[in-house]
Amino acid sequence: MRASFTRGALAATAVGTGLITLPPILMIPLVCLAGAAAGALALLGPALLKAKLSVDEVVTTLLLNFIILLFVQMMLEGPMKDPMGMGWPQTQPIIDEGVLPRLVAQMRLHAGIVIALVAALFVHVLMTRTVVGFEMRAVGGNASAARFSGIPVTATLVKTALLSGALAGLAGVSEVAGLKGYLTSDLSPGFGYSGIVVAMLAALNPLAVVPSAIFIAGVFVGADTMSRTLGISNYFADLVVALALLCVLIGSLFTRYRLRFVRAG
Amino acid sequence: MEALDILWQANFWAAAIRIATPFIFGVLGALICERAGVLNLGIEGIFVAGAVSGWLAVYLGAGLWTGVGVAAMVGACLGLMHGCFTVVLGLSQHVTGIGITLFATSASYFGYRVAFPTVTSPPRIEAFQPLNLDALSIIPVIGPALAQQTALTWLAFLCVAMTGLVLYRTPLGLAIRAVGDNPASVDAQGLSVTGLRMGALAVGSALMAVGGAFLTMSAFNAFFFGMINGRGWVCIALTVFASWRPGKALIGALLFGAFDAYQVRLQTLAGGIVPSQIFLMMPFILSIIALILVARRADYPRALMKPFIKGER
Repeated sequence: MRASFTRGALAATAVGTGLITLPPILMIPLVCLAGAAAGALALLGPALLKAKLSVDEVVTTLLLNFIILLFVQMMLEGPMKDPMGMGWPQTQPIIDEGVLPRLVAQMRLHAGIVIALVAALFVHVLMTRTVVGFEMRAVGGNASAARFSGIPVTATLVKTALLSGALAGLAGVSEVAGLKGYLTSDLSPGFGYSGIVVAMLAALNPLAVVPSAIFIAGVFVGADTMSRTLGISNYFADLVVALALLCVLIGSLFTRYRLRFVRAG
Repeated sequence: MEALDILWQANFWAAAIRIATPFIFGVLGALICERAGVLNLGIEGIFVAGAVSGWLAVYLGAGLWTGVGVAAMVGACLGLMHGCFTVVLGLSQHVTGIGITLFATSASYFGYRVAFPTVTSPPRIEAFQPLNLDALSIIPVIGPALAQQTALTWLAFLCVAMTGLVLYRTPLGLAIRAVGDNPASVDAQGLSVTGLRMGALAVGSALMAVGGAFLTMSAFNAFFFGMINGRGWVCIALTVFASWRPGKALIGALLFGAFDAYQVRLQTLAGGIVPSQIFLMMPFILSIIALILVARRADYPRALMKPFIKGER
């Protein structure tokens, strides 16, 4: 479970910024589908390399991250540049039919949150109630044991990667179609890494991801406010998040071991 | 053929060696860690931490070599921190590495911002100067290229030789290689697996940090945000490409530096027809290609990424 999920989080690293290299598209479902497909496609390469050549998928996705980011920049300065953008490398705004609707008037809360909640529920059901989910957990737990029991390990790895890529793609869609309305190259480069932290903080449980994500979001929003009012650098949020990840890692130890104090001698 | 003439210019090779230097340090560091059985994905952050801390020490008035020492110390501390998680506690090396990278990067950036809250142009230091070894200039092309390098580049070459010597010609090297292949046998010899791995992590991470310090103290004379820009991840790929051998690591890093220097020159020749991002992508595409090329015959240290807990089966 850990392996497949960490991979899912790492998928976000690779795709977090790259996923929305698509022209502003027509309707919301289409936008979402395209984003998900782009995300899945981006992870197909590392997944196949891992499955066929056992190249470490973490390293390839980390490298792919830069390639995708540069690709986005290229598109932004080339074919997809907004002619009305005053020379800034950004796309044209997504047309109104493609923008995720706001849920509450006067607030920036948009339908992306609904998609995210549905996704969390979907992944939970998938992991606990379906054959595919069982296979994913089995492969993550012990790949050779899974292979012996007849689970198609390669296919499962590829499926998992595609799914996580698609979800990361949706995250990008929600950022662009829900919040910003257009794509720039500085679209939250840290989001992918935060995905890993959120997943670890949630102990790799899809439903727990929701509060964990809200917590991390709170750290980032809070740091923004601190930076505006007190002039404390934004990097403070990254520092807190990094420390949270390391603390959770140590904490995970106690799910496997028990401390027992014995009298010396 | 202008594109081929480039290869005969001493300046081109000087640039290639300059670009290769941080990679030499980084690959050596990653190699030492992985030979001992620990994948150190903290490398990207350790590069940043070394770049900032070494530079900051010099900026605050320390000597250049003291700065290098400070960077190495910071790197070693981060390596030991990695070791506490992965070696002592046996936690996931992937996640710990990313965690160390996040921590080291954000702490360095934050520290830099605290030290210089409102600077617009980055403050500068008096960096390492080229040694100008005129005696070398009698060798064609390569001689003048080497003569232009700074002391840190020569330190990198020295480290390659030292690493090779220690790994293959000393009992300590044998123990380090063994602990990455079969920690149980090392344990049975009465040696400390934890101690060996922690030591390898400290030394390897110190080398990585010096690689980062090279960027701020020799290649440039200031620190910029995002200046590491994936160099650490490239080092991890180059380590696999070098099949965990110091000599091959040197060749791999130099090849990589040559490619990079070459594409910069091609870029000026191409004159804006090809988008600049294509060229910037090249190092990462090359790294992935290098990984694919050696994938079939890559001989990973057997116990890489397998924690060893004494007495546990």
